[in-house]
Amino acid sequence: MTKQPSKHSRSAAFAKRAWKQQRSTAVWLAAVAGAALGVVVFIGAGEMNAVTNVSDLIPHSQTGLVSVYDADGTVAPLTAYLMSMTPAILGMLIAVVATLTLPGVVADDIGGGGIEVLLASPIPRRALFTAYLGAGFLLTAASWGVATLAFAVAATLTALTIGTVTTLSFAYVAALIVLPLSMGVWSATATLFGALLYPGALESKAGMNGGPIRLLAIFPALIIVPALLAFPAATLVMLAIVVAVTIAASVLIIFLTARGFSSTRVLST
Amino acid sequence: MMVSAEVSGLVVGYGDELVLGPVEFTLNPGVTALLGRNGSGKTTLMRTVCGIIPALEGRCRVLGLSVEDGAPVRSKVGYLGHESALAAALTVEQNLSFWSDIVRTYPEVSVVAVDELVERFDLSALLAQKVKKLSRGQRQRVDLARLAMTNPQFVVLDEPLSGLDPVYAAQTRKLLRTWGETRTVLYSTHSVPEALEVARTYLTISGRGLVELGAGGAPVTEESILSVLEASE
Repeated sequence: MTKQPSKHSRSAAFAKRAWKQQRSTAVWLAAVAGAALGVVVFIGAGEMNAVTNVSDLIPHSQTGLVSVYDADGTVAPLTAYLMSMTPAILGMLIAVVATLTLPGVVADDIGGGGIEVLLASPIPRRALFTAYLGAGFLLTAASWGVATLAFAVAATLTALTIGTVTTLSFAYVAALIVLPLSMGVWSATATLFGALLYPGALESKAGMNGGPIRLLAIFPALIIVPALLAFPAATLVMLAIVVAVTIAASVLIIFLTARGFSSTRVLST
Repeated sequence: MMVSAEVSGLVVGYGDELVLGPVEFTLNPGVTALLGRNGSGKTTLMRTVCGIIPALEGRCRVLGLSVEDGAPVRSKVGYLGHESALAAALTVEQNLSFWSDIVRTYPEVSVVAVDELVERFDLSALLAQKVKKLSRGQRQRVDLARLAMTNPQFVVLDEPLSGLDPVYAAQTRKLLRTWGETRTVLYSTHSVPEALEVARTYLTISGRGLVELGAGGAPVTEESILSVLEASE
């Protein structure tokens, strides 16, 4: 039977294989991380919500993104503050999950003989790269969806259990959805860049567990979390900057990886 | 007889690093053994012939066509690398399913059904097993089934017999000879006696050049091959 080439079915084959290879890590790790964050953000503040003389550390006023009141109707500033940071923390968790799962998508091919067979096939190099990228995005999107859902469910149940009343602004909800996704996409593209072009950079080095590429992948998260701590009044602005920068950087690194992805490079590493 | 591969002035290597060449040879239907010492450039030459890596110089045509990136003629080329093309964490069935999905996207190719390959390569007992649990010989069998999916007319195998136990090695030698009856097979090996048993013609790497032995039915002995290999020191 003669078949015509279909780039969609090819990408689907790569995505299906990546899902089979990494789904347990991508889904379970994301679910546990999201749910844990949803619980910790509400019960983590504990009695600290009642402390009022640490204004240097905890903003007294609400950040404008989230309003939280405890069961007595008293403002819970630390919980509100922790909530306002959750998009960044969730983003960091998703970025970490991406660095743990995505190398596996290409590792078997690069480390074994799969890549040689694919490069010997009639599939153009660019289409191969696109297929890997699509598989990486699928896993990242799955991690993001699961982590966000787990966070939402766990946070809602915890808030209901302890009687906390929470009001979310539209900006917060948007940040909660977009920021982790953008940080996940950045982490995915940076990790694939390393896995395809510099596989050695994903190996653990002394003092740098996971290698420099993993550090690069979670770099936005390492910047944004302390920045939010330092400048709580500018939370929304900083979240917006991170979204813009990570998306722009992702596009740039996709371009660089596509340009550098050649058989000579892959097979000589 | 149609020439299956035509190579002229071919220089192979990676980027600026020259490995072998310039070399010239032709391949006809049948089994050809590529012999050379460790690091002599066998893998690099085979990768270039299949179009996996670009030639630094010269020309290589397979089945009458150039094998540049994305060329449809590659649908007719089957490649077996020194390392398995199977994902270690997946089962044999999942791996065959993946490759079946992939080769169905190749242009102008008749895809052999997985069930047929399972029967032909006696894989039914292995289907549910993860590849990482398989022996070298079992993995090789699955990889050969993967290669056979497209019923390739030009088959290139990088040391397919190394590390196999005597039974698997004998089965693979038989398979190579069978394939050689209807298609062109180029395979690399370190074993001269094995090459003499399996192949009809021989490409022997000597220094940065290549010596063709056995073309035109000329007799080839272990000594004649070894003398070429020893001259490359």
